[in-house]
Formats: sequence, C-alpha cells, structure tokens
Amino acid sequence: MRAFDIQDVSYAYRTQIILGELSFQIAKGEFFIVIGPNGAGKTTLLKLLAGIGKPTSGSIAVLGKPIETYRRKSLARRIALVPQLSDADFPFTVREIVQAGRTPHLGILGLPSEKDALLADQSMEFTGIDHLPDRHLSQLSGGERQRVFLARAICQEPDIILLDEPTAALDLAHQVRIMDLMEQLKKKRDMTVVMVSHDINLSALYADRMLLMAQGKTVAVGPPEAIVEKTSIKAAYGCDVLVDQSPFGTIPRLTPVPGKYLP
Amino acid sequence: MISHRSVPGKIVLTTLLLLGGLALALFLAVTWGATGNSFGAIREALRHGSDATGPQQTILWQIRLPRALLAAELGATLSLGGLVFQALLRNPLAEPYILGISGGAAVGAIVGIMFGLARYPGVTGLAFAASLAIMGLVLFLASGRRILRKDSLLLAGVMVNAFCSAVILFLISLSQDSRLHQIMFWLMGDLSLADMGQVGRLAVILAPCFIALFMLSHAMNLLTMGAETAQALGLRVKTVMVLLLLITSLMISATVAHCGLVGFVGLVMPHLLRLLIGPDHRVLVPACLFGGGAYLVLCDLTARVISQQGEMPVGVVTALIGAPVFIYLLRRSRH
Repeated sequence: MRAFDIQDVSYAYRTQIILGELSFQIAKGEFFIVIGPNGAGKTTLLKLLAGIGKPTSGSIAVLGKPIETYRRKSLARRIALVPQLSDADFPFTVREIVQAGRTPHLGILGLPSEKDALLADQSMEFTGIDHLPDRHLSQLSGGERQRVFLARAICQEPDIILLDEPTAALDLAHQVRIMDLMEQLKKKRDMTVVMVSHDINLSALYADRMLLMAQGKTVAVGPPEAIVEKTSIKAAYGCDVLVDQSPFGTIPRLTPVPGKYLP
Repeated sequence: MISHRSVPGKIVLTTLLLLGGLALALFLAVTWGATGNSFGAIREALRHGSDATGPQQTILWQIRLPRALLAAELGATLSLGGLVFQALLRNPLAEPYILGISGGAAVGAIVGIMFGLARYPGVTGLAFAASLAIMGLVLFLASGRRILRKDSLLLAGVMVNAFCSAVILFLISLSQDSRLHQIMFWLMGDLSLADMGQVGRLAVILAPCFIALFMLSHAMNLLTMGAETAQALGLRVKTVMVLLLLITSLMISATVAHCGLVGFVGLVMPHLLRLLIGPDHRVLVPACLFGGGAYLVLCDLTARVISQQGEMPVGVVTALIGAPVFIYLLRRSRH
C-alpha cells in the first residue's frame, strides 16, 4: 500500500492553471522532497495532499483510500501538516500549541488526558524544545519556532508528515537539525515524510526520491542522482549549473555558475 | 483531582471568580442609585420576602434589578461577540461592529422603530433579518476560496459597516421629531426601559448561544492558529466559521434590538481577559460571559450615578472608558 497515489491531478484557480496533470506515487516510509522554481505549484500540491482544497480533476489516494472518503478528523489522524513559518497573533504557550496536535484524537473541547499531555511532552523532548514549555512563540527564534510546529505535528501521531519549506530562513545548523529529525521520524517511527524545499543540495543529501516541478508540471521524478543533473535543472530553472559528487560518494552536488544570468 | 494548572481547573476557577464578580456588581447596581444606597430596603426585603412593599421596593425590584440584569446580558453578549470575531479574523483588535453585523441589526431595528412596531417580534425580527442579510453580503463579498484569508473578510466587513452607518444616518434624517429622540437615545445604548419580561425573553435567545459558543471554544483556539493549520488538525473550518457567524449574528442582533449600539465592550473585555488569563478560548468564553456582564453592569451603574438628573446612555460610559483603552492597547501592540 502506498502513502500517496496521485493520478492526473490538475488544479486551476479561476482561469489560471496551477497544476497540470501530475501523476506520481509516494511509498510508505519514504522521504520524498519536492523542488522547483518559485510559482511551480509546490505549495498548492502540498495543500492538496493535506486535503486542503480539492483537485480540479484527477484523483488522490491516501494509504489506499480516495482522499475525499476520509472525514476531516480521521484524515488529520493520518496526515500532519507543517505550514510555512508565520507570525503568531495570539499568545499561546509552546505547550498549548504542541498539545493542540492531539486535537484529532480528542473530543469537541479538546481536553487532553494525562496520556495526551505526556505525548506532548515527549514530542517537545524529541525536537529539543522541552526547556521552553511556557514561553510564547514571539519569544522564540526561527529555529525554535519551527521545532514547536514539528513537535505539534509529531504529537498528532500521523502516518504521514507534510512540510512546507521547513528549513527556509534557518541557519545551517538548524537546517541540518530539522532534516536529521525528519530522517529519525522516518527510520524510528516509520513515518512517510513529504517536504517542499528550495535547497537542492540539502534535499539530495536526505531524500529517497525527489520530484522536480516547473510551471505546475512534472519535469522529473526519481532518486536524487536522476533529478540533480544539468539538463533537468536547466529545464526547470532555466539556468546553467555544474553538477559533481558530494564527499559522500554517489549523492550529486550542484553548483550554480556565477555571472551568467545578466545580459 | 482538578488542579489550577489543568484546563478544566482553569475553567472552573475563572468561572467561579468572575461569577462572584458579577454577583457583586449586580448587588451594587440594585442597592445604589440616585436615591442613595438602599441597604435598609434590601434588609427589609430579605426579612419579609415578597411581602415587602413601598416605593423603595418598587425601585429595587422593578426598575433597578431588570436594568442591571439587562446590562449583564448585554455585556456578556458583546464581550463574547468580540471574542468570536477576534478569533475568526485572527485579529485581537476586532469587535462585533467590525463586520457590520451590529450595523445591519441597527438598520433593521431603526426601520422597525420608525414604523412603530413592538419590540417583539417586530423590531427584534427585523434586526435579526437585517443582520443576517448583511452577514450574507459580507460572506458573499469575501466568498470562495478566499474566505480562509482573514483580510478579505475584514475588508468586506469594514465596507459594509461604513455603508450601514450611512443608512442609519439617512434613516435618522428622514424620521419625525417624535421618534427622533427615541431613536437617538436607543442608538447610544439605552437600558432605562428594561422590565423582567424583556430580560427573560432575551435570556431564552442568549442561553443556547452561550452554550454553543462554549462547545466551539476549542475550535476557536484552532482558528487563531490559522485556517490551514486548523483544517490540518481536523477542524471543518468553513462549517465552524459559518456557525460562529450565525450564532454571533443572532445574539448580537437580539441585544441590539433591545439595547442599541453600545461600543467598545466587545473590544475591551476579551482583550483585557486575554491579558489576564491567556488566550485559551475554553477559559475565555465563560470569562467573557461573566466578566463582560459584570463590566457592563458597573458601566451602567456609573452612568446612573453620574447623571443625577435625567439619564445618561450606558454607551457613553463604555465609549469614554473604551476608546482610551483601545488606543492604549493599539499603541502597545505595535511594539
């Protein structure tokens, strides 16, 4: 059984086509990263996978069942979403935010039992924010904030975790830390990780398979060495790059060529 | 075992505390007035039960008590309305007036008054119908996919509200002198004509709304975290938003028909309570219910005590206190 089975999915907003006939599969327990230039439709795709909005045509199956047959709450027990970092308008504490991850498992008032509170504590420990439970989001750095939202997603106990540019605007150490956490989730908890990213080299280091998109369409899908190569990158981004191998051997490494973008 | 750190513990503790505050405010409002304090009359009434008579007793039980209870209902409704709108718009500075719902209710109510209709069902029905129509218009303007974006709803509401204000002024300019005083006084918030029947009828409408809002309190928590996050956590966002708008529209229009437009309570109370007890709506809903009620009872008491002769609408007091507080909060939130 696959985590996702995407068949001919198109999405249009008014007359503008954002996604055009995408078809691919994501296996259970896979680390799958979607890359592509700005406006390629990556975030839209991620939202459709999270059940936020419906494709204009085509079908999405989650764990073998069509996505539209799930009730919203039961889908939330399967899939967690970590959206792009945003500001907090209301002063919830870190613990309150993480505990909200238990919502799909609780009643209408979302009152956590002792077991739920324990799970929230464990999630905070896992992402390394257990020393901050009573802080407000506005008092945290970008890296800490991102780990709060990760902890909420983990606390949700999903089979699949979707992340929208979780490493954007983070420093190098935090980027690697987030990616390491995702790899642990995959290896230790057998979670399927689907991530949108702009960092091609970092993605190549972690991904089992990658999807390269441009203008709402698939350019290539496959293991990093099939995606991170000159012709595909040129086709998607329209710029010249050099590709060699990272010090880790077969994993490809991309280097942009300076001075070739201005007339 | 309920500890004060757990959510149920916080709910119980806050409710008891503010319920006590409301009881105290009601006691003060009944005993205090233009004729000085009436502790003697209260003692007498307690000793003789319903047998106690005399002008003092009439003032206490037939004028001051219904007025204080109506003030409590109004304060609770406006505070809760503000709380809901702040969650819906993810904007801690929103209040029920901002989406034009109360403006719409006011237009309906003024039309009702102009035609000389009774408060029930005429004025109230028209107020609710108009506020529903306005809400429908706001939703339509902000409709489709973009309802999930807070700005489109806010913008549509501000436009529609401005339109309602113009219609209200237009209607006032049309109305005869005999009704003008009534309309103007009502617009500023008028509690002076309260009677127990009115208080009871309003309670029948409000009580189910209050219960429903408490049931939706955790949904409001999720909404403040963003529509997409709420959806990903299993909330049916559009359904909940429409429900919240309907409930709020019903209770606001019912109270507007009774008490007119009383500003700033919906802004000040939720904000103040959030500063004191945090942003969890499961605690804030009961807190706004009782705290908002107590606040308006005290505002109305102030209005009565200040204006020894004649009457001062409670809306004057809430705006005199509310506007400076609003500006203070706005300046602070910029930093």
